Amino acid sequence: MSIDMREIERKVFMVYNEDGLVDIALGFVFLGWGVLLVVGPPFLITLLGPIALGIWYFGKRLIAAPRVGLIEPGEKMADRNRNLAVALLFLGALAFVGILIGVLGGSSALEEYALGLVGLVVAGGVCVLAYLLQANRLYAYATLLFLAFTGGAALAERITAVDAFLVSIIVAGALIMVSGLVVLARFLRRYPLPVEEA
Amino acid sequence: MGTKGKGDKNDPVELDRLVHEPARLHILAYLSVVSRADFVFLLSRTGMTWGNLSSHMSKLEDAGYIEVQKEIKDKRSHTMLSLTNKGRSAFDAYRSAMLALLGR
Repeated sequence: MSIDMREIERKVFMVYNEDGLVDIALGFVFLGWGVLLVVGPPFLITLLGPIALGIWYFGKRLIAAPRVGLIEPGEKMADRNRNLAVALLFLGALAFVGILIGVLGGSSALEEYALGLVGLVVAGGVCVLAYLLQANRLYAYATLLFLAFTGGAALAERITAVDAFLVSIIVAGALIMVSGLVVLARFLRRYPLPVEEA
Repeated sequence: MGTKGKGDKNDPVELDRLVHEPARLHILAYLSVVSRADFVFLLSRTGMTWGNLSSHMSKLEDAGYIEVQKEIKDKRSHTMLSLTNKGRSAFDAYRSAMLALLGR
């Protein structure tokens, strides 16, 4: 029987990151961004953020909460949640800037260094999220996104038949989303709906 | 239950037996790091059955260590639990006593 309070706090915090909903929402944004820039119309990109938030919110409410319950956080956890909200706002602002660059400039017109820089900023933002959520798998997503931005830009110079940059973003988004679905499946198996005893 | 353990003559610390029971210790530990938590949260974290958790909850509530609030949420009854000041003091005292016992 452990009464290591830091461990208890960590367990309480972690259970809310085991559902894979953040992963699915994040993957959805990049997958949607890439797909809409290929098939259009690009203005639908502005809906990606609200839809991702909806996936996260309703997923928490309808899938996670009935299985792991609800808490009102203590002081320390509330501080951490505040930091998380600030990080999410920062990420949102970054995504908005990235989208503006994509929509106004058109991916093929973007400079290679500009894409690398955007990739670095996006990866940095995801790393902040990983740190705050204490979810190591998000560091892998950050690396994947950085590689997708820089590698995609490099490939786009060599391959002209398809937009290699957008393909790499689509693949990265799809991989993150699939990973999130695997995490969600594990969560559903681990936390079945509790059955009330008669 | 609910009384302080008398312990051995050579026992330097006195443990609250109500807190000392592993299942209840688990409940108090989880409630100590949150402001409030619902019944399902404790079920998922402690791995207890519905009936077992209800029974321990009643003992802790009778001792005044936790407060149980019944609410209606989405047209369904929803039970929220929180640690009272008395419960927090008892839990902190238990932790101090255990640390003293283990010589840390």
